[in-house]
Formats: sequence, structure tokens, C-alpha cells
Amino acid sequence: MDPGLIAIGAGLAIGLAGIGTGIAQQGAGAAAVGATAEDPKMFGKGIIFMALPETIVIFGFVIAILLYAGMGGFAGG
Amino acid sequence: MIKPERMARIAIVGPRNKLDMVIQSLYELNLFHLVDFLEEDPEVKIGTPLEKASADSQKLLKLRAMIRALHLEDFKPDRKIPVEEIEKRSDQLVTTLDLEVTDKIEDRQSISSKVRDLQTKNTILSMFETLGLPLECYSGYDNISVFAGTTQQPIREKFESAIGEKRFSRLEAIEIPYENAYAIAVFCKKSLADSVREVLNMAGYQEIRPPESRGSPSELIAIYTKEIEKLETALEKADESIDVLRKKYGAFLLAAEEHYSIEVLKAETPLRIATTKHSFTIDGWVPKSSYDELKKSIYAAAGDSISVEDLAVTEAEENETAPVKLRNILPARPFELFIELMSKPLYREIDPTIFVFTVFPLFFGLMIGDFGYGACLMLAGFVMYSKLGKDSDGWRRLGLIVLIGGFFAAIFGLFLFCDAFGLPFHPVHNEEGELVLGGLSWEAIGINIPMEAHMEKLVDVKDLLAISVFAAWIHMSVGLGLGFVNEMHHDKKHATMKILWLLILFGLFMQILFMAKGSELRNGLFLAFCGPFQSYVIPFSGLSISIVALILILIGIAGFFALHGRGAMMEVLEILSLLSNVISYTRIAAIGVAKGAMALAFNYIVINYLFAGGNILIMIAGVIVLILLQLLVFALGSLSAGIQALRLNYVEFFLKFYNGGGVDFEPLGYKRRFSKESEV
Repeated sequence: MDPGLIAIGAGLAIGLAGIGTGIAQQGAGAAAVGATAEDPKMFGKGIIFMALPETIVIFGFVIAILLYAGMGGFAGG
Repeated sequence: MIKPERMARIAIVGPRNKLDMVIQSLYELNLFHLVDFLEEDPEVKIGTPLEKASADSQKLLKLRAMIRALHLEDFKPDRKIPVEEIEKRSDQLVTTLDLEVTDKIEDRQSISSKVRDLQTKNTILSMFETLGLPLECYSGYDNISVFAGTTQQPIREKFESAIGEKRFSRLEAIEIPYENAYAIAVFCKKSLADSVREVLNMAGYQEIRPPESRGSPSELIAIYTKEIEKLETALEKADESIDVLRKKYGAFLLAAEEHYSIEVLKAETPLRIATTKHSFTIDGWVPKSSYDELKKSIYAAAGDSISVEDLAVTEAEENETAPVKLRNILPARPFELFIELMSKPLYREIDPTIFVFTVFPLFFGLMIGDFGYGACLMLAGFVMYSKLGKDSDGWRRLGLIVLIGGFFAAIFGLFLFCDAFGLPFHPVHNEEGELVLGGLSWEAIGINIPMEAHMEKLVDVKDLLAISVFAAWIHMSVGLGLGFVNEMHHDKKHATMKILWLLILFGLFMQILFMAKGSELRNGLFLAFCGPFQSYVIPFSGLSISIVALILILIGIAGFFALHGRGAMMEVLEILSLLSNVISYTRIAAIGVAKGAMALAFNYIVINYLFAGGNILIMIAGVIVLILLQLLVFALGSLSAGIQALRLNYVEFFLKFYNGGGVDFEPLGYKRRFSKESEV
């Protein structure tokens, strides 16, 4: 396949995953900050809920790397 | 096992006249976690505060009022006051100082309220100054109504359009723009007043009453302004004399407040203790290792009439109710901060501090992996520890964590990745032997560091991914192992589940190794873990499914069904989230690569441009821009590496074994910041 198309695919994979993470984090983050403001002991749990959606963008990253490697981005492929 | 400090539940029993001595000695020991006495009966009652409590609280009340009045909250005293001095001088000083402070503060308040008064008057007058009429024009009429104030909309037009109506023909209206609105004055016949008010209200009228004086407003403003100036110098003087008081008595007041807070705390301790008419019983926890020390000091302080007994509670009760005090080797102690941020472990649980201490700096170091940033982080950590950490335990510990993390980042930067500030030591070649980014490196700008990189962030991404997956397997296996140990005596079924999950995790790890290709590290791992089984594969649409991995996962699933029956379906679905946990560790590679690429890109843009023109001004500007960009990468990189390393511990690791929610060990005790006890 045209390597340009694959590169676009890789970009979309990580970009869209990033947007997904952002959407998920806006709610979790706001709630976590609110909870921590009321009770500093909530910080640890807040971070967990805040960090959970980050896995989505990591999935995007892995897919992007796989695509990039597949088109020979790191040479050799 | 690495569990929190073991505790012994003890009871201290003695005659009531020795109670204050025992309390005193418990506070000095700082080892005894008191269990509040709650259930009264006719014989045993909650104790009454020691005699001095009420006098001391009164003093405390006055001291706190003075501290607030003098704004001593942020005052930094230059010396610590000995307790004897406080006890000797406080009675007399508190009384006289109280009067003096109250006087001065009241003076200051009356002056500042006068200033505020005059300022309000001036604001009103400035509106009348805009209108330009002498003040006597606004009052003293028999048949004329006067409206003065501001409106949001111009009023002249409104009256002009209404003036066709005969009743508005005799009316005088002034309207001048004033502070985003209009200053207006309207004079009309008394009979018209109501209709005029209606028109004004529609224009957003706000009445401003003219001051009851005569003459031109500007003159009055000048007089008031002069008066304000005079008062302000008086205010400065008052502030100065208050400042003198602050400097002279600040240290003493803070020390006295601290001392009497401690005294009141001690004196009110009997409210948490069981007493009868002639005796008392104190119930609580002490670390087993300190039991003898506690016993000895209490006997030394209060004599033989006291009895200190180990209640020898059952292990079940101990697990249920004992408070949790973490105990770790010295270098791991700063990392207790991360455990406290989450929640203290239960008494029966393993304290994960030591694991966070080993893993966090490794992950953090791998993600930063840069000698320059690592060194800067060590410096930043040291500053946090020594400067910010003086007053705050949290900053002190965070500083040490950053210091340790920075050390690992520097080590990885120096020996593994061989780069500093995003710039590799030597030109980087990709796998086809082509120069990456034109060979930009420290060597290219004339600094030769004799270290050879074992891994290039931008070229060997697959190796980094292999490291991440390997780290995932090790880290989560340890987590599941700890989970097994935690549950072993508690719940056999849960413990067995952990073993099954360990099998599945290893199966997933093997399968990922089978599917991944093209990295030397992966090949090494593959040979080590899957070597003997590498020919047992089922080809499936281009992928090779390892039979051994499949069997491991199937054993796990079969185990779920054996343990849970139909409910096992939920557990089977959880295998997907375990897989996503494994993938989640690739953030180690992701952050490392992203940060490295960002730094290199900035360096590439700026450094090439710097040496291209030969213009000195451009070079200076370039250096400034480069420093700013480096700071940006440094801040973003450290923050995200720190949070991600923490998250891998909190989410992927802790959720495999950790319950948390233990009761904090809070021994009776106090800390003196402003006062000091004699050394006798």
C-alpha cells in the first residue's frame, strides 16, 4: 500500500485516540480535582481515575508504531 | 514479610493522682496510640480535664486573638523561646500586651475607617463635580423636585420625545457622560415628580444623594483629599508601631501559643481515658519493639504504683483494629508519601513502599533517559529537599524522590541512551545506515564524549517496546504474587485466583513475544522464555498462536469455572483488561520516544539556524529560544514521566493486590517549631 496512506493512518490512530482520552479525562479530571479539594486524601484515587483513560491513547500509540514499522518507518520493517 | 510495624495492645492502670505524670511521659515518648474510651457505665466514667486546662485555654484564646490581630501567621521568628521563659513571663506579658495590641489595632481601625469614609464621599462628589453645579443647588426648594444620580442610557432624548406632551415642557435636565454611564440632574415641578421618576427608571436610574454641604464639589474634593493624605501618614505610623510590636513580641507570642496548645492538648487528654473515683485505665497501641521502652519510662516517671500490661489480643483482633505504622529501610522512606497519598495499607496487608521504591525510579529513569535532564532533576530534587523541605515534610520527601528518579534518569542517559538535553553524544544512524537528522549530536558541535549508545530512542523503538512488555510482565507478576500472599491466610479462593491470573499473564506475555518481530531485545526475550516451545504454534491468518500460551490461558479459564461456576464469564472478560494492562506499560516507550523526539526536534531547528547565519544577534536570540524550549521539554517531560510512573504503580500494580484503608498510627506527641524544652 502507499506508504503515505499508512503514515496518515498512523497519525489518525494516535490523534483520534488522543481526542478520546481528552474527552474521557475532562470529566474524570474535573471530578478528581473537586474531590481532592474537599479531601486531600482523595488524591491517590483521583490520579487513578484520572489516569485510567490514558490507556486509550497508549493503544493509539501502539497501533501507530505497528503501522509505521509495517511501512518500513524504522527501516527494514 | 514486609508488613507494617507489629503492634501490641496495652493497658496502663494506676491511681488518679499519678494521671498527669503518666500523660506527660506518654507525650514525651511519642510512641503510644491512644484508643478513645467511649462506653461509660455508673462505675467507669470519662475523665475530667487536668486542673490547669481552663487557665491555659484562656491564655491560649488571648494569644490566638493577638496573633491574628498582628497577622503573625506568616511571621518567621529568628529564635526559639525556651519553655521556662514562656511560663515565667506569659502571665504578665499576656495581660499588658493584650491591652497594648488592642489599643493599637483599634487606633488603626478607626483611622482606616475614616479614610474609607472620605474616599466614599469623594466618589460621590466626583459625580457632582461632573455635573458642575454648586452643592446648594440640589436642595432647599419649595416647589421643585430634584433628581441626581446616574443612568445607563441618555435621558435627554427620552424627555425630548416626551416633551411633546405638554406636562414635560417645564423641566431642566443635565446629562453628562460619566464612567461608562451618565451623570444626570433633573429639576422639575413637584407635581411632575412621579412621571419624571418613571422616565428615569426606564433609563436605569440610580439615585445618588448630594452631600449636605455647600460650595463647589471640586473644592470639597480637594479638602477631603488633603485630609486623606494626612490620615494615610497617620496610618503608616500606626502600621509602623504595630510592626514594632510584631518584631518585638512575634517570636514570643508564637512560641507561647505553641506551648499552651501543647499544654491544653495534654490537659484535655483525660477526656479520652476511662477513670473511676480513684483510678484510671489508659488503653492503646504501642509498637511491639518499643513496648519495653514505654514500660520503663512510665515506671521512671510515675513510680511503681502504675501497672503496664500487654493485653495479648488475638491475631484476628490485631488485624482488625491495630493502627498502621509503616516501617521501611531508610532510602525507601520518602516513597511512603506515595502510599499515604493513596491510602495506608491494612494492618494485615503487605506495605508496598519497598516495591514502589524499586520500580518507580526505574520507570521514571527509563522515560526521561537523558543525562542532562537527569542531572537537572537531581539538582531540582536537592533544592526541593533543602529549601522547600525545611517546613514541609511532603516537599522534603518529594525532593528525595525527584533526586533518586533524576539519578536513574542520568544513569540511563549516560550508559544506555547516551544523550544529554535531547542531543545524542554521537551521530545516530538508522538501520539502513543513513544519518538521522543530518547527524546532529554533541560530537557534531565539537564535544566528544567517549560513550557508545546501546539504544537510540528514535531508532530502536521496538526495543523500548520489548522492555516495556517485559517490565509489564515482571511488575504485574510481582503484584499478583503479593496478592497471593495477602489473601493466603484470608481467603483461599481469592489466593487461588491470583495464581490463575499469574498463569494467564505469562501466557499473554509469551503470545506477545510470539507476535512481536524485528527487535534484538525481543529476540533475546523470546529465546529465554519461549525458546523450547517455539515450534509449537498454530498458524492463524498470518499470526502464530503459541500452543503453550494458549494452554496456560485455557488452564486459567478452566480454573475460573471451577472456582466460580457460571460467574466465571465476568472473570474471562477480565483477561482483556489484563491484556490492556500489559499494553498500558508501553507508555514507558511512548513517553521516552515522544520526549526525546520533541527535544531533538527543537535542538535541530534552533541549532542549525544558529550556526547558519553567523549573525551575533540571531545567535543570542537563538540561545535564549533554545533555553526556553529546553525548559519546556524538561518540565513537560518530568511531569508526565512522574505521573505515568506513578500511575503504573497505582493502577496496574496496586490493583492486583492492594486494599488500603488502614487506620493511621497517631501517637500522642507534639512537635515544637517556635519553642524549645530545656535539655535537662
